[in-house]
Amino acid sequence: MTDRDQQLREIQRNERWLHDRLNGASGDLAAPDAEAIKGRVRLALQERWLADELSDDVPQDLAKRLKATTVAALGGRSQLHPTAGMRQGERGRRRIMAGWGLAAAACLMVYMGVRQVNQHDRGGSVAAAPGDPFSDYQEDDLLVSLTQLSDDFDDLDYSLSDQVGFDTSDFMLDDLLFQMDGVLGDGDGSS
Amino acid sequence: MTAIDELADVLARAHRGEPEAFEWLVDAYSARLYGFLYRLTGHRDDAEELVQEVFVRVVRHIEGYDHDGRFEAWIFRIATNLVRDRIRRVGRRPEIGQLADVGEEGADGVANDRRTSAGSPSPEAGLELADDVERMQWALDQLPAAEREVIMLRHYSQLSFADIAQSMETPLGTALARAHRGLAKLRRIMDGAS
Repeated sequence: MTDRDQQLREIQRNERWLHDRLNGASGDLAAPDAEAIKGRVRLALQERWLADELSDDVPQDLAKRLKATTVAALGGRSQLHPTAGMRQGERGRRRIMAGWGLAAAACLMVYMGVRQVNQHDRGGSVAAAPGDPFSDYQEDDLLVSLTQLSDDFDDLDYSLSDQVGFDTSDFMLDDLLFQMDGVLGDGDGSS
Repeated sequence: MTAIDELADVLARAHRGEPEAFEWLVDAYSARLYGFLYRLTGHRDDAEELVQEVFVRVVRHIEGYDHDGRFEAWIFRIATNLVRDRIRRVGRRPEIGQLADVGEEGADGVANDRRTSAGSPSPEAGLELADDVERMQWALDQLPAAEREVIMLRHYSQLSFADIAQSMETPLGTALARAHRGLAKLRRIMDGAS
């Protein structure tokens, strides 16, 4: 008898023991509320039907046109070249990388800001020359820069998201609205 | 019509979105799924919610399921993934795990990741331990998640070890070793606690 055979025999013996324990005199768990589950299933079916109906309303080439418009709108600000075949995993990975990029950039901005403030403080006894940018330094300046950076990151994040294209999932409509919002935002210069 | 043919017929009707087909599936699988999910989560409420979620996923993805006679493996894989997601997201521990520590420590290498620093069982805990169902749950909770999954998949889904290995994306030998180790530990724990 091989080790594998021995192992299988012990498994079978222990499984019989487990079966007796789980389905013994005290019985196992009470049955779940099947009607509640069926109700949820009916709702899910209606949701599926609705999603199908709504997806029929969307012109087939709309996603393609939206992508083209979005890429064109973002083209001036982003060096990214979207590829239609990007997969979900790639989106996640790129988002993480972009997040790290943002964090590094934010740290750099904070460092530069603090460095500049320190430089300014060290020369504080010297009267500031007219037009010296440090003489008008405000903490808000750094905040504004970071806010701008955050906006840029949002744009980048949006462009990355867009490259994935449309899912056939329930989130399709949300994605569509999100993308339209992004395009309009870029188009009227409000982003 | 054999049971296999009947399931194939039901799945074909489910593909077409017939509500009765899904109700058939609920009747056929909900009890086993519930038991399976309860044994993995340790919470009845979570198990109820997750059973519903399993069937919602079935409704949403049945069109992408190509019936090859492994519907059980498919639906239990959905259930397993939902439990993993839930634990990863919520980090919830089975309440019964609070009662851990009724004697031996470690049970020959039994993973204690779900054990707490609780001392002797309270009177309430003792009452709960008297309940076989809860006691088994407590014992299962002492096992590493991977061993518990294999054992519960085997019991509730009645899948072959080959199917379980495929479902868990592990070699067959690993699935067998997990079942072997897990069951042996389970017996030791139950014997020690009784």
